[in-house]
Order: sequence, then structure tokens, then C-alpha cells
Amino acid sequence: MSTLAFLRADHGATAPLPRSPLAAETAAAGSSPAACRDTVGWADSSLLGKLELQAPADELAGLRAALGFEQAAAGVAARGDAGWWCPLTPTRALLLGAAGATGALAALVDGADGTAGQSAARVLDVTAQFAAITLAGPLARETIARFCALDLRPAHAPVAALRPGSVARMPGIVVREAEERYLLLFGAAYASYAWEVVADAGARLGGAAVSEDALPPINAPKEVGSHA
Amino acid sequence: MTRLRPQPAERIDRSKPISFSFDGKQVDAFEGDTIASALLASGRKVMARSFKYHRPRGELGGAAGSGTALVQVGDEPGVRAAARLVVPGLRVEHQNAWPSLDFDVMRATDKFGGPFTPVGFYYKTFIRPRRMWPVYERVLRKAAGLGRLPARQHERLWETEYRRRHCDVLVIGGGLAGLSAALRAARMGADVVLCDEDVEPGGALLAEGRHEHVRARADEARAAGVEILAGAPALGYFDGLVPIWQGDTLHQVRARQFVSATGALEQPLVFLDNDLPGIMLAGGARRMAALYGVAPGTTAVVATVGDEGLEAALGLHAAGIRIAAVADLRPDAAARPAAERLVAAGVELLPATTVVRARGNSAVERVVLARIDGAGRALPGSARELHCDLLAVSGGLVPASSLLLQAGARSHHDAATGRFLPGALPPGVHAAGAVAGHPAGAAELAGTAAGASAAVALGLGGQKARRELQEARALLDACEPAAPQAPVPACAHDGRGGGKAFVDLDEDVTVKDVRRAADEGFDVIELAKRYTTVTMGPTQGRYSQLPSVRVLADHTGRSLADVGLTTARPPWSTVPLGALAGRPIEAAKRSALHARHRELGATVRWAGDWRRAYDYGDPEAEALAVQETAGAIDVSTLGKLLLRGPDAGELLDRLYPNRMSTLRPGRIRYGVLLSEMGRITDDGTVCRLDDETFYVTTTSAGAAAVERWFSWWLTDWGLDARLTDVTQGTAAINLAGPKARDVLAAVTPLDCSNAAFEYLEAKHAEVAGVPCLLLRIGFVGEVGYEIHCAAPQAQRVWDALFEAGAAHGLRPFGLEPQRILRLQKLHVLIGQDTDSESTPYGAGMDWTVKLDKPQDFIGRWALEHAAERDPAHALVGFSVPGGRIPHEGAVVTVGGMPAGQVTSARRSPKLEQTIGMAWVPHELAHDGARLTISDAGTSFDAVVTTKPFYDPEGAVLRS
Repeated sequence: MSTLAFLRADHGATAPLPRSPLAAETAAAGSSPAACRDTVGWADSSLLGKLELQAPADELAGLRAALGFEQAAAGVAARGDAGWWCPLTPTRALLLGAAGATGALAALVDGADGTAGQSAARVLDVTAQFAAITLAGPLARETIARFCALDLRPAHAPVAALRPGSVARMPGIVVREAEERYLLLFGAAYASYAWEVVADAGARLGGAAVSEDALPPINAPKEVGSHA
Repeated sequence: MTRLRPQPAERIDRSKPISFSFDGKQVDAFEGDTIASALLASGRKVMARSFKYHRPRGELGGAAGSGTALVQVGDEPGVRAAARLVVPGLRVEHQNAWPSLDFDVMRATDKFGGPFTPVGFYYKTFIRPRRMWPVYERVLRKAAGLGRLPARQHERLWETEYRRRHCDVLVIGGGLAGLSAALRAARMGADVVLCDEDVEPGGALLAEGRHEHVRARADEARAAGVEILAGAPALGYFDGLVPIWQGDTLHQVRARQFVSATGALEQPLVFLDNDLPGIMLAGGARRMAALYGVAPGTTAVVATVGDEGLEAALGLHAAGIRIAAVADLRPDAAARPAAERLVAAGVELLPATTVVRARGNSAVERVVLARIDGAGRALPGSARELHCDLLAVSGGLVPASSLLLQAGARSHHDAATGRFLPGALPPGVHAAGAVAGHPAGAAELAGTAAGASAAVALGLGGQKARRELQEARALLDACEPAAPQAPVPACAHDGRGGGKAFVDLDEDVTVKDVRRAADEGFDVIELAKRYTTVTMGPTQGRYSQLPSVRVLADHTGRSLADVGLTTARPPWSTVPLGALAGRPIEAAKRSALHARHRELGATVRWAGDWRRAYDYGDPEAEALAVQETAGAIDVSTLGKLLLRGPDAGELLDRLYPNRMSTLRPGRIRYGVLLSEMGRITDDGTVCRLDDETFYVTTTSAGAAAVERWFSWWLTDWGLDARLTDVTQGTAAINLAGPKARDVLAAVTPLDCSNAAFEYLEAKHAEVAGVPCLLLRIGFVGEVGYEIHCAAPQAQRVWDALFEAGAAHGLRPFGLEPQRILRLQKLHVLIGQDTDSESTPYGAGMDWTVKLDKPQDFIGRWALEHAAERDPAHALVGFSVPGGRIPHEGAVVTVGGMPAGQVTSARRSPKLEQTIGMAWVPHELAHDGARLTISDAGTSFDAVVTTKPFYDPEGAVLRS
């Protein structure tokens, strides 16, 4: 067993399936895409694969390029085949991939690290550390505005905007994944609280909790979001 | 009172009749009516009773900002009747009157209470005997209340929505100037929000014959993308943040540019009995007629000091209301164009005349008009009494500049117009229209210029836009100034006794009150305000600021400029406290096992920002179980940091006073963290996972601070190590007790024997198939294992432990039994038993300090000095014969003087006695010393111990 195996949420077939911190809250989430189409739908995305990468700035940039992500400026995430590359500082980034894919992601990172074991890069599976909620729909931004003071207007937060900041009075990160789709990341211990906040705000706008498969795809065609 | 014939600008829909109740009686209205307009239409003039004297009051301003007619709507007190739209079934009641609105016994205060209720009477009449104040307070509160809240807290729930809105330009005020500003800025590409306190934008022009123009402007603004918030007063200006309250939503708007277009406020006149129902601001009466088709009276007298009153008289006349006379204080009033139109319409105009007294029982019935001298007294022989049921007054305009002043502008008195105007504006703040002193005819131009100015400041628009802005400013500068108004007397009167002249109808402050305050030394407007409460009522001085300034200036012989205005403070518009209190959802951290604790009936309490299981119903039994069989506690809240890199050990050596780099992989060491002054800030364990990886635990409350501390020094020292906080994603369960080993062995393939898994060792192993890190440590003093795993797997591990532990008597235990158990071992709880002055030496933790290690470390210098002498105080254990349990914080006394304090105390079910920890003078820090503890008024003895009460040699822990 590797030294850091105890921190990993998902061990594939060798261990029980991980349980989302929002498993109880999302039991009744519907799979109809109506909410995401008409108002706002929110889904538990806590089990998205998440890797933290720490390395000297030039090495981290090399790793990003080797993984096929375009250069991302501060405040901008890069979308690639593996998922989202989210630069948090010049020496620290989050790599977001599909649920259950952290093993593959880590292997990808190892493969991209061309320094033959001399790398100072540190990779850590932080899937369990962050819970996540995805909001999608024409009122997604308006819903977030009910609990978050970040400026997410399209002109200021275009698609792929990455916004660390205070989300519902807790430290969080917002990624604008598509025109009308936002990913909220926050500490896993806050998951129930965050869900309550999102549901409280979204329900007032006519939205509903949905399952992840009811979310529109990230590469959906661009549509004009409603003004909020 | 009746409805007028349909008015061109009216906003009611006569095809949609609705009804609501006022004091239990049905009132008919139309969709679009406000409570005030519907009540007026029904013939009711008295809508409320005043705050102090319980005098009958009606609607004064006819606009959202007016505050004389406050009513109770359902459970909501203090609702402005002119601001709330009626809906079918609305239940409206009067407030502050008993037994009824029309017969209020507390009116006796007005009739007979004068000598007992002068200004400042709280401090005078009711100051003696002092012990009676609680009784007085109850009586006064009951007598002076403004509505009632539901009796029970849970019935007072406010469901306010909070909405954060960023924009480029926020325009406050939806009159023609505001709409023009918003439109211009939006057309130049700005993201614009406009708010207005009225139910629709348009401002005064809606009732002044230009409704089609302003409504078209509003439509254009919407089409240009302006977000218009109607019925939404701005509450204040907080360094760029403007909260706007709109019904059940509080918008928190952050804009890069602000345009204030809040207009000007028509002022009342001050004369004897100027508060009678039926006395309205001229503009308010006109609004009632024009927008709601309501005749606020059948026969009106208008008293004015400027053109606004003349225009209002024309409007009322056109609406079908008879105008008995118009008194204009200006000697040359007849030359004004509006006056000429009035005379042409057959209305009698009385130049150089004003109103000096109103007469009537519960509403105005007659008014006395007269020419006055410089002191406001009626000139002999000039008085003339007229019958009327509406007195429309216009005492001049005051720019509504409060928000500009809150933003940092300074006001000055403009002698030319007789108005207080805002001076230079701070960067990013613009003003347009009457608030800036622009004449009414230039509102559109002023707004357009302000909107363009805001957009240009944002970098929008090209050279052409800049040129147009310059041209607009030039045109604005060339405009005629606002029409002059007559000097207004502080108080007009007929020189006879009787009657009250009010400067503040909100707070029932009279001219006499302000004069008396000045005579008593409160002759500065800020002091007079506090002493009399003038301007502190629901309208926030909108209609009382200038009258009170005039009275003070007149009485003290100073100019208006010298007296000045009071400091503008939020809220500019009243707002329920409930709307500001926030959503009732607490930001709480919960462990991955929280649901299990709930299922087990845990008492859940706050512990820092976590919700934790305090106990499961019987803390003493839970503590005993840990010592007799086995117990499990969720310790996921512990801070957990992962430190990786070649210099990780070096970093730890510099942060901890003992050696961490010498740890072998798989070993654990306890350590305290120190400030540079050698004081204990946190503690925890350090486990070396491999050559370059350390797993550090901290206290639950200290996790974030320690992470910042580590990060700070890591950056400062430039060491090659990476830090990651894994607290929230890593669960931890402490399994402890004589049977703990058996329970663990049942769910893991690991050899759990003492020989294979020693005290202070760490092992990687699967528990119930889940990869875990197991730490053999023992905070509660029994054989114990901390089982760390990824939070998404925690329930699986917990469930497996309890399934296996059922046969061994395993039971969950919470924070309270944990505290009992650790106290038996005299294990220090950082923050509970220590404070910001505690050193390891004083806390009896000398063993954690290795001054002989080669590395410098945080706090070393201070500890080297501290080590040279005995600490003045020491942390010791104590027991209390007799079983009394002192409160935490109880005082340790020596010779009757305070000499220390108790930090922890519990009853130990195992030891069957009270045990605790306390800071005591060093000379008492030895076994068997007797302490005196003073607690809650009594004193009792305790006996000192310096060794753990339970397993002092640690044999159990290591077994």
C-alpha cells in the first residue's frame, strides 16, 4: 500500500465505492433536464477526480503543456481532454477530471513528467478534500448571486473563468464551465451547508436538484444567458 | 372623499376592483392603489397616531418616503401606507392607539401631559427614584410603541432574499434625470442598474403632466439593458457597496460608478397645528390626484414659498379640486407664470401671505392665512380664516443629498437658491438633477451628462462621446438656476396661545422642544438632534432636517450655513432589522460521520466551526465504557497537514521545539507549536510516513491557523517542501479501551499485537477493505488507535468497527466523555488549559522542549530566557474533597487574594471524585498542596497533584 493511499477516496475495484459527502442530500435529485433548461438545476459533483499538483513554476508550466492544456492566465482555467487545469498559484494547480479517474489522471501526470524521477512535482489526490456542486441553467448565475459576491457577469467571468473567493461565507472556487454552467468547489466538511445554501437560493428561483447526468455537457453550444 | 374622474397619468386599474380590511372593516380599492390612496379614497383621513402625543395623523407626502401614516400589515409593523400596494385580502390595522384609532385614550398625553413630557423628559421626569426606571421603561415602551411584533421569536421569521449584483453604473433615483443617466450610460455600453423607491420609475414628473415622456424613457432604458429596480430604496452608501431593499430582496450592489439622481424633497411649513390630517405636501396631494385619482380634499388651500406650490395648485385644480386660495409668501408671486395661470383660472392668489394656524378636531377644517413679520408673527389685521378640508403646503425644496454625503461629498448652503447643496463629489460619484441643484427644466440634460460622464470614466465611448459630454456640460452650466424661493420663517404663528408647531412629525418634536434644547446648551445641531431625537424617526429627517435647522438658526441668531446639517448616515430609508440579519443558515463544518452521530442520538453542539457529537446521552457511562471495554470517537475535526519534500524535516525542526527530523518512518512524536515569544499556540502529533513525507495533526480549532503558520515560514525560509491541508477530506476515528485491540484486529489483517504495533507507531493497513493510516496514540489514556482514512470511506470504517465491536461492548463516545478521560491523564487541552501567556515550562511540558538541539526554532530565544528561572505560575491537577465541581474560570485564591484560575473540572466516574486543572502560584505546584478555590460566592479547598490521576506511569497506554 502506498504511503498516501489512505488519503485517496477511490481505489477502483480494490476498495468500497467512495461515498459523496452529499449522498444523503442528493438521494431525491431528479434526472430530468428541465430545471437546467428552464431555470437552474444543481447537482452533486463531489466525486469528480481532483489532483493537486505542486512544483516550481517552470516545471508546473511544463507539466501543463505536456498534458495538453493551453497556457492559462491567472483567473482562467484551461480545458483539455483530461478535464480542467486550474492554476491557483504559479506553483500550485488543481487538475479536475472525471469521477473515479484520479488513478488514470495521476498516471497521466507521471507519464507527462519527463524528468525521469528527478521532478520536484508533488501530486496528491485531493478528491476527498473538496466537495463540489454544479449549477446549470439560465438562472445559474443569478442563483450564485444569492450567496456569493464574486463578479460572475459574462464580461468579467467568461467561460473558463476561475474564481477563488468567498462562496457562501466559506473559502471556495468557482469555475465557469460553460455559458450557463458553473462548478463550485469547497471544503468537503462544508458540503451539507453548501447544499442547503444552494437549494435555498435555487428553489426560490424555481430550480431543482438534479442528478449529474441531467446536467448539460460542458461543450454545449453557446447560448445567450439571461440577464441577471 | 371620492375618486376623481379618470386621470391621464393614473396607475390604478379601475376595471379591477379589490378589497382589503382596515381595522376589520372592508375598504374598496383598485389594483394599483396604495394603502394610503385607498384609505383616502374611502374617506379616511386619520391613518395613524403620533409617536409621543398620540395626535391623529394622516398621509403627508403621498410618496414612498413619507412616514406619517405608519400602519400594521399582518405581523409587520411600521409599514408606510403610501409605499405598500394593496392586494386582495390584505389585513391592515392602525398602530399606537387604544382602544381605537379614532378614540385614543393616550391622547391625554397631548392634552394634559405637556408639563411632564418636555424634551429630554426621559432624563428628567423619570430619573428619580432611580430604582423605578424599569417600571417607567415598561410603561413608556407600551405607550410609545410603533406597532407590535409577534410575541414569539419563531413567528418573527423574515424570509429576505439576498442578491449580490455587480454593475458598471448604479443610478439611484428614477426621475427624468436618473432615467436619462441610465439610458445614456447603457447606450455607451455600460452594465447599468437603476433603483427607485417608488413603485414605478418616473419621479415627480409622473404627476406633473409628463408621465408619457418619463414612462417612454423608462421603456427605452429597459430596452437598452438597464435593470430597473422599482419599489427599491437605496439604504446607504458603504464604500462602494449600496444595499437596496426591494420587498423581500436585499440587493447588495457593487458598482464602479454611481449616479445619484435622488431629486429634491418638498418641505412642510411650520405653523401652529401643522400636523392635522388633511394637511399634505402640495406635491403629495397632487400625486394622490394624478396617480390614484383620489381627491385628498374637496376644497383646498395652498400655501407655498415657491413655484412648486403654484404648479401643484394648478394640478389639483385641473384634477377637479376646488382651490379656495393660494398663499404665496413671495411678495412678487403674482408675476410668476404659474400664478398668472392660476389667476386666469379664477383662483384667488394671496402674495406675501402664508399659513399661521390650522384648525380642526381630527382633521383640518379651517386655516388662518396672514402676512407675517420677520419673526413669523402674523401682522395685525392681516389674518384671514378660510374653510377647507385640504391644506397643501410647499415649504421649498431640499436636495435629497444624503447618499452623496455618505459617499464623501460635503454640503454647503447656497445663498442664491436658499438650499443646502452637495459640493465636490468624490471620484466615481456623479449627481444629476435637483439633488445637484440643477433646475427642473434641465433634468434630462443633467442626467445625460452624468450618464455619459460615468461611462467615459469606465473607458467607454470614443472621442465623439467625450466631445458630446463637454457640450452637455457647457449647456448645463448655461442653464438658468433653480427658481428662487421666499425666505421661510422658522415658525409662522398668529401670536395667540394654544396649538403645537411641529418640526418633526416622526418624533413629535416641536419648535418649542428645539428652542428649549438650545436654551439648555444643546445649541449645536448634532447635539440638539441627539437631545430631541429630531430627524431620527422613520423618514430619517427628510421632512424635518431643514425645519429644525431653521428653528435653531432663528433661535440662536445664526445663519443656516452656520448651523449646517447633521451628519448623513445610513439607512436613508427605513428597513426592518430582519431584512439585514442574513439568511438563517449557519456555515457549519460536518464530518463524514455526522449522519451516523445523528442516528445514534448524539447531542450535537458547536465546537469552533464544526458541529460535533458532544455526547450520546450519558457522558459518564460513555467514559466508563472506554475504560472498561472500548469506545470510539469521531476525531475527524483534528487539523491534518501533509508536508512533503526534502526539507520537510528541517521545516518541522524549525517550527517545533523538539526534534522531528530524527523521527523514523512509521514513528509518531508529540509536539507543541510556539509563538516567537515562546508561548504555546497549538499542539499535535507528527508522524513520519516516509523519508520526505510527514503527516501533522493539530487541534481542531487551530487547523487553519497552523496551516497559515506553516505556509508563512515555508515561504519565508524558501525550503523545498510542499504543504497541503487535508483536514476536511480525511476522517479520523479514535478507537480506545481495553478491548480496542480486539475490535481492530477483527476488521484488519494487520498484526495488532503490542509487539507488532507499539505505542507511538504508525501503520498502513486496510480496515474493512479501506486503506487507512493507523496511529497508535492515546489522548484518553487507554490503548488507542487513531484510524485515518479518506472521508468518503469513513462510514464504511465506522460501521465495520461497530459491527465487530458489538461483541466487545464498543460504544460511541463524544467530546464530553473525552474531556473527562483526558483530564484523568492531565493531558493539556490547548486553548482550554492554556492561554496566550502559557509557556511549556509553566504548563509542565518541559519535556517537549529540546534546547540542546542544533537548530534554531520559533520561540527558542524566549524559552532560553524562561528556562533561567522558575515560572511564576504552573499548571497542575487538583482534586476536590466533597465532590464539588468548580466552574471553569473559578478563582484560585491565596490569602484571600486572586492567585490563579481553574481551567478544567469534571467529575470522574472512574475515580469517583472531582478532578481538574488550574494555574496556581509556583510555590503551590507540588503534590499535596492545598488550594482555595473561590467560585460563585463560596470558597472550598482542593488538593494539588502533579501526576496524572489515572495510569501515572503510562503502563496502560503502552500495554
